[in-house]
Amino acid sequence: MAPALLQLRGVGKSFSGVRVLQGIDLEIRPGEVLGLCGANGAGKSTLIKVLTGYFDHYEGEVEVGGRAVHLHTPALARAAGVDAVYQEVDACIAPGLTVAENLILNRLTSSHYPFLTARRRVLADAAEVAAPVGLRVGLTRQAEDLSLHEKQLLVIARAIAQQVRVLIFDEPSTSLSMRETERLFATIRDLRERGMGIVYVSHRLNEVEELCDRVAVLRNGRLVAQFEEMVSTSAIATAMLGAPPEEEFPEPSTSASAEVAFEVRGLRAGTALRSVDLSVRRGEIFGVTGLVGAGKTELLRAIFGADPKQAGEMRIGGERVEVRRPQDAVRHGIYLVPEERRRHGLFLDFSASRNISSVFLAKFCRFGVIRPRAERRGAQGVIERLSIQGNAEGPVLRLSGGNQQKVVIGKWIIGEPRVLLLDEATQGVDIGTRRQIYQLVREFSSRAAVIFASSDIDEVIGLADRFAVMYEGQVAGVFARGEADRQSVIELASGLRKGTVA
Amino acid sequence: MVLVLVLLVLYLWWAVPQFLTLTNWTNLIRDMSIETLVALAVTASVVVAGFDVSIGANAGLAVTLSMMAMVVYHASAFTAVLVALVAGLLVGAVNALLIIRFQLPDLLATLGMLFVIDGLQQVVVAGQTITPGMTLANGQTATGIVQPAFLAIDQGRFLQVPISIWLMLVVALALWFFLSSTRIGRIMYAVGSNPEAARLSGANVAAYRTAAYLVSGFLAALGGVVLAARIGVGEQLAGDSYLLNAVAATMIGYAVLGAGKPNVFGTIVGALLMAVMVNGLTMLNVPYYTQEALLGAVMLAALALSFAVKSRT
Repeated sequence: MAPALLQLRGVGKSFSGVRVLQGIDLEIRPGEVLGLCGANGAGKSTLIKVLTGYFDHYEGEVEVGGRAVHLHTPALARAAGVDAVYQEVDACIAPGLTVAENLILNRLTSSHYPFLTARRRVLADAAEVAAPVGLRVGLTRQAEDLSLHEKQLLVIARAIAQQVRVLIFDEPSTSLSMRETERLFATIRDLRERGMGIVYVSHRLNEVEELCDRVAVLRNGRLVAQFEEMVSTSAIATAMLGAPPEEEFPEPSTSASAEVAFEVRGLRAGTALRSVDLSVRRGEIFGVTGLVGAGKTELLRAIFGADPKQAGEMRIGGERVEVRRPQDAVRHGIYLVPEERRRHGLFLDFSASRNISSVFLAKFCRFGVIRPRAERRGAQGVIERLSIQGNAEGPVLRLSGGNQQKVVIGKWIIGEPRVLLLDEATQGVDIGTRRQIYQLVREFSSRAAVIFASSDIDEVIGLADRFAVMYEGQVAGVFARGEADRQSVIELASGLRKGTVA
Repeated sequence: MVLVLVLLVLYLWWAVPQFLTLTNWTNLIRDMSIETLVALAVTASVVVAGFDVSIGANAGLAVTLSMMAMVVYHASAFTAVLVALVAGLLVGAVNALLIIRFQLPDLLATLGMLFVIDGLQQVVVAGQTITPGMTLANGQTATGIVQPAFLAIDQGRFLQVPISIWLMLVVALALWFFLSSTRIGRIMYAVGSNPEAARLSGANVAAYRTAAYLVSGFLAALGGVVLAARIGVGEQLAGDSYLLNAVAATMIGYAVLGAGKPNVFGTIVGALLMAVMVNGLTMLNVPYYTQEALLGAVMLAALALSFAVKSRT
């Protein structure tokens, strides 16, 4: 077996007395993809930060080829051959510069590069860097205009040019379409052939199963399992949770009736949503799936009044409702849990408690004056009901992704939802919290019309009683539970097959 | 930051015994009242993530209009005050229109208003300072007087305390209560924290931002009224010099008690800090031209200390 590229011995990290990582003994080998899994808060991002030189102090030792290295700055980490492709790829791209300039950014910023840079030289150098990953975009384009996938390739190309030996991918497939994910995997496999050591961090266990050669599992800051060969997703999940995973999705509804609780006719909005009809029956969870860009988010936002619409009628329980702005929606009991929780769903400098009370604050007021005890009690009730972990009075920014998502959902619970719209509600959320959210959605479906949108096809197939598949702004097909297999759904979502609306 | 203020007071008391007398402090706080009102105006707009820099010009407008009302049009003190306040609200309304309806960036819109207000005022009185007996643009003489009741706003006392100080305290208390304990105040903070999230929670963001600019315009005009009562003449550009200090006080407010956001108590501490420094430096016979540099230096040092402590925790 080839010598390890990176050897971690007893690596640990704590913040002001709070221990986040402990006793990590790990090897990253060349020509191998190592999967790294763990629930939110298990220590994955801390470990990545240690490896990429984010901290000027950590415990334990890291060795490269038997030689100790001190990963105390990002420059030292890169010198040791470690780099990362982050979920927030934009953070690694200089926005005002072109693709070419970004590709050779490290050269441009070094003192060796000539002061007056000839444009031709920059383009030539950049083309050289882009070649190994097959990045085929106009080098003179603005880097920020590239798609997420293209930006990832840019960062990978740049890392390769700097002789990276260990490349860490942090949740790279979250916003990628299926085809792009496939291309990403092909690129990763290619890097593996070249002898690079890849670390693939992801919540999507089926991806880990497909791509990785080995898997390491973190739980509560410790490495609780290292599988030397690929194992089943349930084995990984068991290691992550510390107990065998129960049935992932809640029991299907027994109380669904044929009565229509919420219906939409002829909804059209902008260029992304082209005439959608759908109806949600009482007691059911209605799923909406499709590829990234199919129009799921636009559909939910149009229903909620977040975006202007050109046409469309909506009825709740047979009664027509007019929604032009989010205020109207909330008044009618239509609530939206948005796709981007940090940008659109939370007040990051408010406490979790105040976020929860933010929408229906009037319930805790008398004559317009807030009653603090009533407010705290109300928020506490929601926190207990949803098992939100973390300091409720501290800034909500500090909570984990899963708990933040629960706060976003929690703020709507105080009201009386008649229609609950959830957009990618389990994105970036760990398994345990995901299950809780499914359970919550199931409970709500008996009182409100629930529309659950997700680009994760398996999630929608497992959770929804009926679901629609969207393609290019229209509904390509509607199925009841068990009526369609994964393959046909994928084909419909990719436009490879035309369906008939059920 | 509060610690800095206390230390400063103690030092000045030790250096200049007359510093801590009732007379000195009454003057200090009376001087501070105009600045505080104007600073609270800025605070109101910053809460919703806006930025009203027209407040100085607005205060000057209040001075011009109230003086004109009395000196040229023989208005009573009450009418003069009313005119000034209504004008302040109108300025706020125009700011809101520019920013919300026409979507101009806050700073640029209010900056433009600053120039417009300053310019228009001067056209109206052909650039003169308004005093009783002045010559008007049409050749006539102004025959009104500055009403004593008006001057009493700053120079009068109630229970031994100058009325302008009462005014400052009442306004500060009211605004503090409004922002920290009412539903509308809380939503204004939410709008300032994340306008899009507030919109997606069903809040009428435009209405809240408009309200903030109306409050800002009103408070700036109120400060202008007190200013007019203090100087007794209609000097149009008198308000402009309050702008920078008002912004500074608001910004210092961020660092008070680790607030990290605009807040009434913080703004008052900021205004007090600057007033104490000016008062103290004067008593220490520091020439006026050095005072500003020292003011800036102390402010930067205090801010650095507060923010550095915050990031370490």
